[in-house]
Amino acid sequence: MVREPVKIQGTKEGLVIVVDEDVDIEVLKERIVDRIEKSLKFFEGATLNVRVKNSKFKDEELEDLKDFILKNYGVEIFIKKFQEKHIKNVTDDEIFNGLEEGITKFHRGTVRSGQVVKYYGNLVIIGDVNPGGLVQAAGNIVVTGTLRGIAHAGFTGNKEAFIVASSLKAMQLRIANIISRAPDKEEEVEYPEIAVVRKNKIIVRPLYHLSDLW
Amino acid sequence: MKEAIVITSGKGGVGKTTTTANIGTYLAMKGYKVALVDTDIGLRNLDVVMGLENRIVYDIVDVVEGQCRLKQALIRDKRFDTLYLLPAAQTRDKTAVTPEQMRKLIQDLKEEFDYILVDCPAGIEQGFKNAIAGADRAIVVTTPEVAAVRDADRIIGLLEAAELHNPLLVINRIKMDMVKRGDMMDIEDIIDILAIDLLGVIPDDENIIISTNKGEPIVLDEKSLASQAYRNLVERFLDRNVPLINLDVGNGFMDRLRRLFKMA
Repeated sequence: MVREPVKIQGTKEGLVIVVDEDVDIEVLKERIVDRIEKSLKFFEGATLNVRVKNSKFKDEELEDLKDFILKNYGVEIFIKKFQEKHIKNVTDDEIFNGLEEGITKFHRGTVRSGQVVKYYGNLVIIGDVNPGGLVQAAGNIVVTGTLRGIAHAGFTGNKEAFIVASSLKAMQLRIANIISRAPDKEEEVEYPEIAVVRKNKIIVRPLYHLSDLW
Repeated sequence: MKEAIVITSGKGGVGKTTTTANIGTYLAMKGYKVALVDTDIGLRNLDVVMGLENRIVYDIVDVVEGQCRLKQALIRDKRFDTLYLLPAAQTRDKTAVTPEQMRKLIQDLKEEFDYILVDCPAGIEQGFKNAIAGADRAIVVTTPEVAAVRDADRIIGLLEAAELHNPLLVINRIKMDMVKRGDMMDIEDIIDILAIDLLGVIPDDENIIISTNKGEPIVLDEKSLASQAYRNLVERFLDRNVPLINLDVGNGFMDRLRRLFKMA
């Protein structure tokens, strides 16, 4: 699983650059310069928002970077540091909107205890998710096998996201910032199920009653 | 009173987690405020044994990293209001926590709880060092096997080096019939080698496996011998004058039955 360490996204706030925690400041600089040079016209007189996620950059390093870009390219950048969002403070500013059609990752194989599969789009697991395994997607999650661990769909805040599994025996289901846990005594069902949010609660329905849901 | 007790063994699979769950549950049954802390980061089990796995949202690493408040991570037991679990993280490793952070954490827990039971991971590396940091005393679990006793001995040495003196011994999974036949280490043999105070002896009991799988600590089931042994162990922990229970009593009928069949 290779994820871009420096991601440049267009959002309603303009261009946002999301940087992973283990990225060197030089790499970040290089990527920003690269991007600006590619479309210099677009950037003229513009401001650029950079959100730095979980990074260990020092403030003075970031100040240097700001000065460098301003001097050489005339582009002012605003840098905002933020910690990766936890379930409690999922906000609405970066919602993934590709639930109908959008980027999707296909993960092949079983997600075992202690493993995390996280994707900023829709996520399909070709296999099972075992207890203690965690799958997180900004969009929908589909598990072709049995979901026994934790699935967190719409983790950037989209409550419309759904979770589908051939066999849904999840320890916990999370959609956006809503959590539900498995009942302590679970009745076994033999059919595929879907979990969606209705009235701020996660509900689970048989997959063949879809017309009731939408 | 407030005390932090680490349950450790050196060797894996001797029953640290089961012992932690049962001592903690019975202390809570007796009305004490108890926190169970799972320090086996990356290989957590205590939540499963307690049947609380599906309630975990935050864990010990979230707490020490300041991602959540301690109270948010503490899971209240489904049976007893005074019993709480602080689960380990499953997606991290032992280096995610330092002994200093553990010391602070235990200190914070002491403000709320009478007893803090720390379930230690197997081994003597970082996880062990984390688990014993902040503990006031130690319970060493062993089974009547040479390898387990050897590791327990090593652990007792390390505990002493860390200024955790006078650990208490729990001998787990003893089979009285095998001891009688001379096929298993006797309690005396083990005490002889380890030379620490014996807190309790837990018989090998199939019911423990059943209860563990169900997420119901066996102390909840009054009838089984192992449950009585755990209760006796806790009574002795609270008052050292309580005598050890006689494990032969409960086994007697089955023993006789078994012997009868063998003779036939």
